[in-house]
Amino acid sequence: MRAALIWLVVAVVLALGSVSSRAWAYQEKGEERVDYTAYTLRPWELSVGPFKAEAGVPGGLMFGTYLPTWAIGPFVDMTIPTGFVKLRDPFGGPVAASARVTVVYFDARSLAADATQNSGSRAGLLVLPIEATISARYQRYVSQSLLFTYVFASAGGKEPSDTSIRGAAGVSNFSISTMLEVRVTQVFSLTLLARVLAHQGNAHVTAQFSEGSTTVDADLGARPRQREFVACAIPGVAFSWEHVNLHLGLGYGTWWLPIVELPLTTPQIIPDLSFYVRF
Amino acid sequence: MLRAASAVLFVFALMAGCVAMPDPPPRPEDLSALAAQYDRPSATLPVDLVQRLIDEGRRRSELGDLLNRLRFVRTAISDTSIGLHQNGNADDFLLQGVINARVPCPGDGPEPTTDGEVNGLLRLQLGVEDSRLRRGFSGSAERCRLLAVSPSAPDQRVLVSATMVGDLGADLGIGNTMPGDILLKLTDVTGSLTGETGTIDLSEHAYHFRLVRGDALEVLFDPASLGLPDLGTVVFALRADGSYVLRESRGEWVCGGGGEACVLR
Repeated sequence: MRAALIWLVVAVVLALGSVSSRAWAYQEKGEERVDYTAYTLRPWELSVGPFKAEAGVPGGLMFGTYLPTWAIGPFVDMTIPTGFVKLRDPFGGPVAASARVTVVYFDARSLAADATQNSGSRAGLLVLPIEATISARYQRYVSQSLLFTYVFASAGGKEPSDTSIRGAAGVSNFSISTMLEVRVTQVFSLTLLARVLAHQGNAHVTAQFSEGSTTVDADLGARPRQREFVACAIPGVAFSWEHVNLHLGLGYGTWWLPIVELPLTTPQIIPDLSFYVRF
Repeated sequence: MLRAASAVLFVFALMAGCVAMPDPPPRPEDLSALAAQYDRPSATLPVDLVQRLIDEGRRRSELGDLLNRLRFVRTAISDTSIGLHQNGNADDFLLQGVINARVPCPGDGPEPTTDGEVNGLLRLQLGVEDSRLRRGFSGSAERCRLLAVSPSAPDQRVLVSATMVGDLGADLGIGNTMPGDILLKLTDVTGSLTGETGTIDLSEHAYHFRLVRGDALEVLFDPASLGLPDLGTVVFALRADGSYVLRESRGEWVCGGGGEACVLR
């Protein structure tokens, strides 16, 4: 029993402390976490995981795309191109700032055609999350980031028919998030992600539809009847080996949909998982 | 430089997130006072004037009756309300904006059709506030063709154009299908009635009537306009079955056939 305990302790120490030469440096310039922070990858550094692939280029720029959106396209007969670009300030000081723009476009032509049984039906959804981030290192082990995220979503569709039903809608929201990272060992760190929906914009809808013999053109704004408090907190742990990175979190609150950064309405338990390799 | 750019981006985001809701259209002429007069005519009539005023009421209700009481205005508003309910989510969201509805006139053939190119169109503009259709609306009839309903002259064809304002009596919740009373005021009416006896000009500078539940048609007028003493206003109500009453401040005058005296009920 005692031997087993010793082996367990040794295994944990080896796992948490199997130190690469750079692990302590993950809070230093060029080695920081890039999710929910203002930091970017080093020039020509790649980060690839099942969820996204991104690359750093000179000038504090970083490009990337979300892999699942490309992967599921052939299965749902729908093209979903995604991409983002992130630009960090050139100063490299303890306080960093960045701007990030993501573009997501759902060309849902086939889904619309299936739904309406009309091969001429078209539908599309454009989501544009824009993010401004400030990150600060308080000391070697602690960093905190503040993110301001604005999301604009625009949807449009048309169903050619005798009545030519078509419409378009636009909606926006603004979220504030913070990411706290406390490095405990060379590999292991604690994280806390907290988000709050600061503003839910009005939706603007233009639509044409027919009812009976009446054709209606509507130009309407819509705002929720009740303004609910929308927020979440997700504590987690992160393992950062020399190349391999794993982040596990479990929290509660409103789940922000990945990629499009739009919050759902119902609070729930939120699992958070990311895995990627940097090289 | 980049910090400045980030700040500008942030301010832009804030501004973009505060886009205002689309405004409802300007309120058309307010007919609520006129609707109140329809509800509460002010005259107190001596019995000897009743028959004469009923005759005048029948004359004044002719145009509205020839226009089929514009029943399809009610249909268009009901369709709009249903369509908005089915295509929107007025339960969870407060809606605000503009609705433009168009409905083809029924045409002057033996059966109503929906060919707006041939029959002409009725256009309505309604405002939406707090997920309700505003009671006041505006619209127009554009070379609207319809068949006048008259048992004595079944083939009278009407062609009419007019601008209109209307009043639903109260704001109409989205999804509610039946506005109770619809008051319509037509202006710059041009048109004709064509029948076996020839063509009659239907032009009127201004004309108003109210379509109430049960398809009764009401017209409000002032006996003083006939040179009678200033007695206040009366409402002549022509029901769907052809019967009629004259309403004044104390109640309704009903006149039987065969020379019987009119009685106040």
